[in-house]
Amino acid sequence: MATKRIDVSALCLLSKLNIGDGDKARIEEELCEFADFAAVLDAFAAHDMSAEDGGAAELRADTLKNEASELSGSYVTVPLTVKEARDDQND
Amino acid sequence: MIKTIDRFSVGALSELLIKKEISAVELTEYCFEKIASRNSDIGAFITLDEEGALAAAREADRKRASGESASGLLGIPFAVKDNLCVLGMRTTCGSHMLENYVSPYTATAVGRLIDSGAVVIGKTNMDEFGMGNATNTSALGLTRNPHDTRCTAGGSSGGSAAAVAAGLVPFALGSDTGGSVRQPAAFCGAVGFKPSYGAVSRYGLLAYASSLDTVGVIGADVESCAATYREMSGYDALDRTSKDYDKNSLPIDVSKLKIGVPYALLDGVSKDVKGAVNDIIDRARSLGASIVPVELPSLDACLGSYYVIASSEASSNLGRYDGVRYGYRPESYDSVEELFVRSRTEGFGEEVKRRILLGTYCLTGEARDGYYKHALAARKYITEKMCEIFSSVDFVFMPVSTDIAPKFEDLIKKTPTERYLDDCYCVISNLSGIPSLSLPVGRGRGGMPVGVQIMADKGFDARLLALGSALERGSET
Repeated sequence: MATKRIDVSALCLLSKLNIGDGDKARIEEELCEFADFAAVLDAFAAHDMSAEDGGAAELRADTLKNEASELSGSYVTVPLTVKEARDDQND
Repeated sequence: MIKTIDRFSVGALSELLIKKEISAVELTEYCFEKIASRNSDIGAFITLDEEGALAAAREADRKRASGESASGLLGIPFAVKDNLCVLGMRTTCGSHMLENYVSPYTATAVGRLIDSGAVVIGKTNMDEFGMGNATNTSALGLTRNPHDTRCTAGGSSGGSAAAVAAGLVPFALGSDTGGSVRQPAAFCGAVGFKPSYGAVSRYGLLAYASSLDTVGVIGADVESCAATYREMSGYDALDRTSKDYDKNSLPIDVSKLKIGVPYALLDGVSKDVKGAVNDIIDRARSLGASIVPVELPSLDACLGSYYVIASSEASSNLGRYDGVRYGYRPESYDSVEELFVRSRTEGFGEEVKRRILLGTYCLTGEARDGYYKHALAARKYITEKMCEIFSSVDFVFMPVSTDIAPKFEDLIKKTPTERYLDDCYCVISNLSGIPSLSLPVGRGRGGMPVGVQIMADKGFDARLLALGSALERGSET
């Protein structure tokens, strides 16, 4: 994934945090540094479909009936995009 | 009153209790005396329960006298990392957010140990919500390495590791999401055991990253960890990801084992760590094991996948701390939105906020496909690769960290990403759910301990502990 700037103000809105202006630039830099590093994961894009099919859920439990799929819904609680968060703020 | 106890392990103390050379009450008093003399230097404990511990010790003495229990942990004192709930005690997670939170229930792992007669002494310091590897992000103070207080004790279970290494307790519970039991154990010269994911119930463990979190143990020796694991592991209806694995350590014939070593990874570690890995290889060889080279998945991919998944799950799990139900809440606020934002902004520390923001970013529409889904794909690949490796070898030897415990003054010079890189040898076990044991192997520069990690296939926890014990005995001869 191409590295780009990260909008920390919008992320703060999404996660209900207030970061001082002085800290925003530093945190944006830190997040971008990590995002650059994590770009190594692009190499695994070809595995996307198999992961979507439950690969990650299987890792969470060896139970015969995979209970983790019930839990997985709670991991993603941020349905909004950064753009939508920004729009909300402007509203 | 007892003057000194030479061997402060579960086995040695149990023997003293059985022979009636000491009572559980005397042993508990001994622990509190040692804590009083050392804790101000190292900051291992953040909550002590002397009254409750002495009451439990008296009950253990009564059970022993009446022959009601013959558990190996009867009357043995232990400490609990402060993200595991104990009824009526504070559970702070090292955070200002939960500074005054008193748990209304006991975690299954702790409860099983209490049921077997073990005595809770108190709660140990940790990086805030488990986020850190030096126990320096706690809102309740710093934990220092008992071997050199200028150095970190590692983290996030640094309080538990320091407590065991300083001989304050024979074992302490920790939690391991990305090395948080193994790395502090290695830095402090204790044994650290991270069981297979699901082998120990997570009920009552405050969640950081639910698909990676594992309750583990730090002990004075391998048998201390094994005795604890036997009591606390097994299926729990309150954690549907838990499972029964074989927990009985049978004697292991090391001469029949094939052990893999990822030699390529040893180029990135210090001379001390490389020496320790070579030392344990020699020890295994001398017991007849055959050593073969193996190739592990890319550590960069492991780390990237780990931090994306852990941060994403953390941003979701920590969403519950909003000042409404429990935790820190500001005295005044003008709206519900302000209550949420101020509670979280004032309650969480810097590292927690950084990871929440990172996780939130990874889950946003614009980044989810590029980071979160790719991290899941990488995790699947890593797990498959580890399964493949364990189809050809019984165990794998690995470094725990790149070097010995760093000094605080050196640690603070690193950027967050550089600090994350320090976890590179540990996260692979969490991503693939396999058990790992951190074993102290000699000393490095300045007399600081060095640890080596042994990994086994998922569910082979008892065999891993048996090998650890055999290698530990090998070092004594």
